[in-house]
Amino acid sequence: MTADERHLDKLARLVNETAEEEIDCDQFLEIVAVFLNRVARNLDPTAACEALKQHVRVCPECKEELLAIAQAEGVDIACLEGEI
Amino acid sequence: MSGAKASDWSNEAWLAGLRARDADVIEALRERLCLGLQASLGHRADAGDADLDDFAQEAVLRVMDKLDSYRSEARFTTWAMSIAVRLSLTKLRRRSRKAVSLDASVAASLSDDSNATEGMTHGARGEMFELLRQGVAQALTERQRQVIMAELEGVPQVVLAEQLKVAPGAVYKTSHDARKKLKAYLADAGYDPVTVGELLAAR
Repeated sequence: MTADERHLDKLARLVNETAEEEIDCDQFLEIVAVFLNRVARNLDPTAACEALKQHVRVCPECKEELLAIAQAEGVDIACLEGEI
Repeated sequence: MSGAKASDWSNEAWLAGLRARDADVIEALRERLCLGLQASLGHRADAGDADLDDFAQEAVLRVMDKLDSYRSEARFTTWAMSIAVRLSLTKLRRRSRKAVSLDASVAASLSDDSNATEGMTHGARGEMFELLRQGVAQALTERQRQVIMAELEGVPQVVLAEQLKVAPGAVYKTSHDARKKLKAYLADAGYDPVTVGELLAAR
């Protein structure tokens, strides 16, 4: 892949995951703890949880934060593979 | 708090102790955050023990400032850790790209020269990429193009926001608006999300 093609591939994936309504990074931070606590207890995802998963698919920085918080808190998020 | 380990404290106990500015509770929070940061960020070459100690200390102050925004649906310690991780990674991102010029990033990024697609994958996938490149050049505003290109180059949002002199939230909104425009641009040309997904998977 050329550098241009890598950028276009990345952009196409981001564009394709884009939703009409998205939470932003501040809203992500407001709900990420609730999300991880629900994952840890195997509770069904709420609408807010689905919004968070969509956000991390288009925001690599918040995905990095989600992984770091999960690691810090010892929450196994392997069950989210393919969703985030 | 005497008699119970910090790991056993309830959300209410943490809140009460911090609101009372109990030195033992504040120290327990600092230790907890520091351990969490070491577990999650300790492997990074750009984050030494002294950095993590500083981040934990600063995160305690941030948590104390935000106590009124804590919602009891989350465990208090997970909520506090989320604040500590955001603070730490923001500092590391700012530090890592402090010297990067946005202009240089943009110049090095996606070209609007159609010759740039030479050598790319041919066929439907290549056509979709070409259309996307055209969308970036034609459908986006200059600011949207700037934000999208910087993101593709990996420029952290906080750095981009500082260079553009806007809030990080405004950068995200600009990116979201740009992505929506590009999604519509592709859909208008027959590339719905299923088709795009199939083309991306066919690499």
